[in-house]
Amino acid sequence: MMFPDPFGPISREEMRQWQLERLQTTLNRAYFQVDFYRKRMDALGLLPEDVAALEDLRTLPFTARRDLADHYPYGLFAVPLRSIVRLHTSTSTFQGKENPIVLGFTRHDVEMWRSLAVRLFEQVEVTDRDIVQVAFNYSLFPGAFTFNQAVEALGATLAPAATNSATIQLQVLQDFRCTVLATTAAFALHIADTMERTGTESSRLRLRLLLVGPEPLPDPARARIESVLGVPVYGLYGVTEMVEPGLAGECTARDGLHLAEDQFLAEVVHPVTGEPLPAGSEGELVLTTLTAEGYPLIRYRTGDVTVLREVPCPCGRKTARLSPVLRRTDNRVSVRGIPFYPEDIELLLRRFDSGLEDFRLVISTVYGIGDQIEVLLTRTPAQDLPGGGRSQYLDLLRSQLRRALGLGVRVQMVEPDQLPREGLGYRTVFRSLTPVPDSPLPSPP
Amino acid sequence: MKPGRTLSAAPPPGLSNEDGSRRGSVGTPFLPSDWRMLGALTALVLALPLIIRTDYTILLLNIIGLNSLVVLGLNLMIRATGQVSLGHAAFYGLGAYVSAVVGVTFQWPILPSLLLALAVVTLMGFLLSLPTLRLEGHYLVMATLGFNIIVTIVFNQMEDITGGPSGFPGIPKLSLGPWRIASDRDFYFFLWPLVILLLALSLNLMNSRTGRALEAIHERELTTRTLGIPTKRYKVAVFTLSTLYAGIGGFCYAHYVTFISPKTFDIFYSVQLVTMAVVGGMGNLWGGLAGAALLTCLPELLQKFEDFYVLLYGLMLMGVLVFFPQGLLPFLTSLPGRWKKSPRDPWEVPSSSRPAEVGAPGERNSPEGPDEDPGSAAPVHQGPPAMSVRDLSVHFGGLQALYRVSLEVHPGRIVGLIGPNGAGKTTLLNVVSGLLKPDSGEVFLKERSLRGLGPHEIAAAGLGRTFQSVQVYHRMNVLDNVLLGLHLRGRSGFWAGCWRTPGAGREERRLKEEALGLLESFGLGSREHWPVGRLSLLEQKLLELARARASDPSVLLLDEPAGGLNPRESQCLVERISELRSQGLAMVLVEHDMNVVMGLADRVVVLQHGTRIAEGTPREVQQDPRVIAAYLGNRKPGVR
Amino acid sequence: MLRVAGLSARYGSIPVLRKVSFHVEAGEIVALVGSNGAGKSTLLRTLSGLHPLTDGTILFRGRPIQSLSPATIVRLGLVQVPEARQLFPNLTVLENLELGGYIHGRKHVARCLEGMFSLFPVLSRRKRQKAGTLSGGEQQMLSIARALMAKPALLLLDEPSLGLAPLVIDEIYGAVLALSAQGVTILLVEQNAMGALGIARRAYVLENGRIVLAGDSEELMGHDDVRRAYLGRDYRHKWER
Repeated sequence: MMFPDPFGPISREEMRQWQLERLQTTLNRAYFQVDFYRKRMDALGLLPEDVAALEDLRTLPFTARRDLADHYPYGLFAVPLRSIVRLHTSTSTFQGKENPIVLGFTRHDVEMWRSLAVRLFEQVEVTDRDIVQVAFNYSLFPGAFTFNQAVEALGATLAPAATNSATIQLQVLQDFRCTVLATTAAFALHIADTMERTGTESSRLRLRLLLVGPEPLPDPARARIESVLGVPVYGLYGVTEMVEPGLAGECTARDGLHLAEDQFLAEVVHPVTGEPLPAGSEGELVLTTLTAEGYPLIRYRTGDVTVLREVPCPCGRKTARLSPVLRRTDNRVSVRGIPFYPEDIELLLRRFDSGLEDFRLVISTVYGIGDQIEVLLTRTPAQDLPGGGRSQYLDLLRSQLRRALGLGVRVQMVEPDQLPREGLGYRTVFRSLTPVPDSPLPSPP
Repeated sequence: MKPGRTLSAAPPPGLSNEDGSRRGSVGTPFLPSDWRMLGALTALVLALPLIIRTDYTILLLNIIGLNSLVVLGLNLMIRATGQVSLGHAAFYGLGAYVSAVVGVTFQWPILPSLLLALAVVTLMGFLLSLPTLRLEGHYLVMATLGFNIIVTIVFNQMEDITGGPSGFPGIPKLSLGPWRIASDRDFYFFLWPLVILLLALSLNLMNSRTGRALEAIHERELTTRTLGIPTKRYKVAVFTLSTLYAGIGGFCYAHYVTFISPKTFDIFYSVQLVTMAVVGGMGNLWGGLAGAALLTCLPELLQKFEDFYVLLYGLMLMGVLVFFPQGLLPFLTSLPGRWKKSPRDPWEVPSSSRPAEVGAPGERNSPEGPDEDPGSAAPVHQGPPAMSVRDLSVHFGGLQALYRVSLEVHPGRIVGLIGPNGAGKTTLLNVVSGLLKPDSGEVFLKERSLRGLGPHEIAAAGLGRTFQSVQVYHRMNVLDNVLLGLHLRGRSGFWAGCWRTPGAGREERRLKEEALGLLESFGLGSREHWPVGRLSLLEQKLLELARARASDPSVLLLDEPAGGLNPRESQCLVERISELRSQGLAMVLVEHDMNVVMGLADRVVVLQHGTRIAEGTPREVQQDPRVIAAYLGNRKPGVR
Repeated sequence: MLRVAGLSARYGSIPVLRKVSFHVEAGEIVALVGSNGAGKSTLLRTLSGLHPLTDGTILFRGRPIQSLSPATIVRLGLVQVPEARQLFPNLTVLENLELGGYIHGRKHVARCLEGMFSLFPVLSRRKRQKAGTLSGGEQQMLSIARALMAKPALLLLDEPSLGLAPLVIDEIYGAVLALSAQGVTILLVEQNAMGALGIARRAYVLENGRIVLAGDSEELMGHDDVRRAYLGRDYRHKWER
């Protein structure tokens, strides 16, 4: 059930009423149909009706990623399986360390996500005359299917593809006269590189615009893609656990990402204290689903730090806008689209080698996007090397890391004084492989 | 405040009686529970003549004593039936005239004349109340008013026997063995011990098992019937008892003033008596004394106003009713309470007074845990049903409320009864519990037909019931409410109650223990002395359930038990009901909260417009298209 | 036109409505459905000022009305057609209608009567009959017409289909649609969910005093949760087929 018209005379007053109504149904659903939420509210002596106004929401506790994993598989579902039409698993890349997160969507939820994706297209003025290429690694980003559905719903022409080969991709873009490309930032950069390498002119392509996601788009990357391809690049925002795109997206004014406020209630809180902050301040984004039937989420901490603005946008829409993600509240990093936590790498390293003393992750970024990882570690020489010799050790470790991450990782053993000093993040250092403007390095996603 | 006292007065609303009652408690047999107050009164009575010199005052005190006697009876009646008699002067008069006539005209000795007088009075009382108390409404008042007028006319007209308007002179004074009760002082020392004795007996009665039942009848007659208590019988008995008091009073009066005339026993005196009761506190036994004292002395004080005497009387009555509607004595006794900490609003119960185990809502949807569908666990055939309803039909005016409805419930099973508004669910419960007569069809409780039985007989046969709007007695505390449920387990009646026989005491002790045990099992053990108004809604519902359980029924009818409860409270109640099921009770559950019904019931019966449209396990019923259509209507293609 | 937020009400100590929020835009037909005991009638009574609320705000055309008297609320344009008709059975059809328009004066009544009779021709034929002698459907129409005489901006209909045969219900709903076309905003409360969903554009589902579901009627028509709101949860474990 969507807002009648985001452009229309909906005032923020009316928006709040709408959100209040939906919030109450969500809380009722969560309380009565999800044990997890009911127990939490009972522990605090709260009932759904105790949240009478949007402000009362802050009396409820946050939901964290860990809660989702802990209740594998169906603990947070609000409907029985037979009402679910689609299941999504968001596996943590470290198999065995934590349970996967399973999300369930009912027919309504699926339609809702599709409508939100349509909205993303409409916000950047994609019409039914466009030929849209949707290029994602569908196993890494199953939400891309929603893009496909949205394109069809819009009446535009869909040209699906995978992200295997940039060369082939370029071919397809030319041959099918695609006007819109939706893909990841990494792949878009790859295409740009390929174009430069092969000397393809951007005029050969019929592209009008690019939609890039679901990870945040760093400015250097945007600049690079735009300069090579010669078309505007629009970012979008999604929460990894929610799998689907469509939470928020840019409009043609490119002044922040419009949040789907009719489906999600956003709060901004202090990353450490959890205290709610007023609009316009920088803080962690906390989301509450307003219409999700299969998997309602109450005050989910996204871990993304952003700024929420409620003033109307130059494009005319009145929905609140998010700034592009400034940083994470945790130490999660992302390399080539694969998110992981340095803490998990540490666990793996220590389990592998009890003689490990210290380590650093060196992440090379390309236009702000993580591209390669290198692990530098120090160990006590007295301890035996697992695997026997030094090269076997490094080989074994490399293969374990590759299995765990799904990425090739370089490993080097070094002396303590050779360990680089930490930058932002936990034992993580970033090195940019591309020229950086004078502004400070934005942290990679 | 003396414990016994608080129960004699109807407690003003909103005040918390922390001490609660010691009603019917273990105490020495034969010793009245109010012995302290009675002792004080006795001391006062004995002391007064020593202080007072004038015989006129003694005379006044005697009149007060006589009035008190009659008012005592009146108050007993008001306490038990809530109705008022405007004819007690007639019984008073009959007591006087009958004894005078046989004593003087027929020269009967004193004792036989007394007995005859009392026999006549009580017979009249019985005959008067038998037809009128059967009816709902205030027919008794009309009947007693009429009776009084008739009796006065009879006294006036039957001159040969009664002496007519000029009166009946020459009634001999009383003598008790050697003691001739001649002077005012002599009479004083005869009358007042009698008054105190009867007061003590009355107080005992109200504090006994019978008294408890009487209070219950007054507060909620219909509900009391469903506890197995034969309310009409009790009402008639109490009325007759009250006429007995009036008869005794009349007898004493005649042999004291030695001259009686019809004018004394007219309706005005009846009204005066009622006024005394009202002013002192309706139904308040001690208050009757106060009211009698005040209003007997008042004319003396108002002598000078002569003609305005009646006007002032009326004003007094009005004033009391407006400013002290509970009566003077309850107002006075409540004064100390008002300066205590202000009473809490009973509906904002602090967390400390929630029942000990509100219980965590169970693991209803845990992914692990066995698939326990109660319906599937129950074997198909468990022996004869505890109750069966066969082809029941009822109609009101032109509306067919129930049409050939049949239903069975087995021991240890719960049958849920659901249906859209107006389907006839409550009607069915009312018919089964005897509050409504069916047009056709029959109800069987363990093979025994309930046809023609009244609600209290059905209850005595083993049917218990709870109500949609919780029917707990607010005039009593928690323990008494449960003791009412145990009423049928006791036998001590009016006599044992008045005299506090050792047997009655033993029985009361036994019942109290059982009641306490029951309260414990319902989580209300620590609340036994609490006034009911202080309990939360959940606690009140648990109390009603405990009370229903007390009578050890084989079948329990539950009418919307979860109404108004929040989910956690609902869950607590559901657990208790489940426990009852495991104790072997058969239950019929009418409920709006579908999750409660579907989760609790073994089988569900669905009614619509008075007929049964579906029956089965909860799952079956939920998926039955007729049931869905009954609740949600039918989807209409093309209407958009 | 109508915006309700956090509405709570009780009977004695029993909570009947628990912080209910919903809204009705001008010109809409919005349905409020739910099983008996869900609190639907109490909700309408609270809106009309006939029942006190313990919490919440009611904004009618931007103005808070929660503490106004029922008469004032009617004057402002919020009129209820009560459950089970509640006509004056011994007064004629005409007299019932006149009473409906009482607050607006005689001239207004005269003008409106024409409109009523064209909307409900059967009432015109039975002008002088006593209201108690009409059939169920006719009574319902009279009840609606009487409410319309008060010139409502928002009409609250309390279970208009109660006790009526399906064909008659169709007629009544047809009249409701016609009214909506004329610009009257309508809040329709029904136990018969399917019927109400058939003519309303949006709906709310009330269960035990709480709104558990809201959305477009089309969405809700086949929705499992609507059935569950009436008949309870029909599964024990999430993985049941």
